[in-house]
Amino acid sequence: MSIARPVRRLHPLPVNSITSSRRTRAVPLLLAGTLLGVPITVGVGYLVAGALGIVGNASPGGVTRVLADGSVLRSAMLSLWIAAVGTTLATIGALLVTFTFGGNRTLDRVARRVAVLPLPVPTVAAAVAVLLLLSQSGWLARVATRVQLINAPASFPALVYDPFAIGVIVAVVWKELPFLLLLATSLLSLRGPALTDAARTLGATRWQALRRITLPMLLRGMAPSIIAVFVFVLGSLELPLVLAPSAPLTLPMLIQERRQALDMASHGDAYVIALLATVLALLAAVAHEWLRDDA
Amino acid sequence: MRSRESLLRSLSFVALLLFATAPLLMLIVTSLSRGWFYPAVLPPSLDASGWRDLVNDPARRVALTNSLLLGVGTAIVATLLALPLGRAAALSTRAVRRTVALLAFAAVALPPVALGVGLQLSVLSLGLGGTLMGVFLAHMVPALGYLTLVFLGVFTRWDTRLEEAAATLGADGVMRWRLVLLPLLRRPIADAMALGFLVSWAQVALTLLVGGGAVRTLPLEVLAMLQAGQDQHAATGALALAIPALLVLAVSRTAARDTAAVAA
Repeated sequence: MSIARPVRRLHPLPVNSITSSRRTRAVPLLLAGTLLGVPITVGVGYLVAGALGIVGNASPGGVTRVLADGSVLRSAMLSLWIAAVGTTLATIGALLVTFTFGGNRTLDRVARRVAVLPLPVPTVAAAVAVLLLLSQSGWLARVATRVQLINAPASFPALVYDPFAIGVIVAVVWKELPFLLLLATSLLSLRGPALTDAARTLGATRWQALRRITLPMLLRGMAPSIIAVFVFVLGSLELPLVLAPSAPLTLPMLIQERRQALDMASHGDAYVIALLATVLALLAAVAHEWLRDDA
Repeated sequence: MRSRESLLRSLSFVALLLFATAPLLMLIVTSLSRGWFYPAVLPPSLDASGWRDLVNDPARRVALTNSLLLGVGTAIVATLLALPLGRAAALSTRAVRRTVALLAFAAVALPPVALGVGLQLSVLSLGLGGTLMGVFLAHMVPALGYLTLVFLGVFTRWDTRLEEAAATLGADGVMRWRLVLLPLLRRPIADAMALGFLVSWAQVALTLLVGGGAVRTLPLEVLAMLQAGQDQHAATGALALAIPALLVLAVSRTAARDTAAVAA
């Protein structure tokens, strides 16, 4: 096909041109391999060796034991529940704030400023704050006592250490909503107006334009970050450490518990469960890359 | 119709304000109140002993110093390494870009506990178990992942024509970096340093596992105080964690505004 033939250059580029050295592959791959590949490989490699009982003072045979262990499955289910519900609610919240305060009036700008306040707050601090607010002797329980809704801490509904991990989910939404909101508002200001205007010109109602144009556009753009949030929550230790029930434990908590146990079998289990959590995260990393369209 | 909409907006705003600020307000009030227990809705008395102890108590001062050292060290070293990596990857082929992005995201996405269990053994075999250096190396893994993604993004949208113009005018590599690239990069570098600091500053799992309890940092102190039932001290520590984080965000935003005219 003659169309595909590249245009022949009439004269070569200058030797010191930046473009001439642009497409090197060796340098970035070498750097990335050393700085990122080595620690990841070493970390995961030790997990595999630990799971097989080669290193780490652990007895082998952990894989079959862990897979048959019902508590591991329950832990995985709890972790997935927290990550799924927390991520979904944070996404819905971010979209609601975007649609309500996406405009350019003063209230819109102030509202968006306020909403992103929790963004840089370390997770530990968020967990402590949610505990102080929601525990059975926390501030909400005290207000409920004052207005005589309840008469003792025990009659306040369990919002932390509870089987549905409500406290953890509240903290997740508080922490992750700002991140998704920043993304949603920047996507909306980049691509929103033109598309929405076109739809409205063609006769779509406001609701139709929102549902058929804006919402799918935002969700598509946010998809990789939604996956990222899901993965972070799945791997978080500090939120469940402060706010989650002790039975079942979340996966990161279970790893930590088994690792601190004194018998070698439990040590081996820790490596196997950590490997399981790693595989879940790596699958998500692949999905994240696959959904990104800007690379 | 119009007034109903504006009422709805006002109510939404109040709800949002409460949701975003209540946890922070709770930390502030708790950090300033001694002996505030159920069923008191308001603290019986205010005192600043939580803040005094944060600075004066030797254990907490060590934790604070460790956290600051790790945060600043991670910010600087991770930025120095991630910048050339992100640039080299962004200027390379699409396949290389995707490979580097995948590796960087993996470093970020791996559960810190799982990564920590693996890194703990490698750091131990280097003879760095339970040392600040070992914890620093562990913090570098997610920090490098995050900052590589940042600089990959920056340089993927980068316009190389300015550098090429400088090269045409006879600027060598060093001059191009000093006179063209670094001034243009002031904003992304400030953002990257802020992010690198925060990744280390907020880290719990990697510190716990690789530090083996011997390296105390502020987040670990906060957890210890909470488990000891010292709400006032835990809230003070939590605020001490949140304040620099909020400041760092504000500063990186300011830096962003100052250079926006250039970097746009």
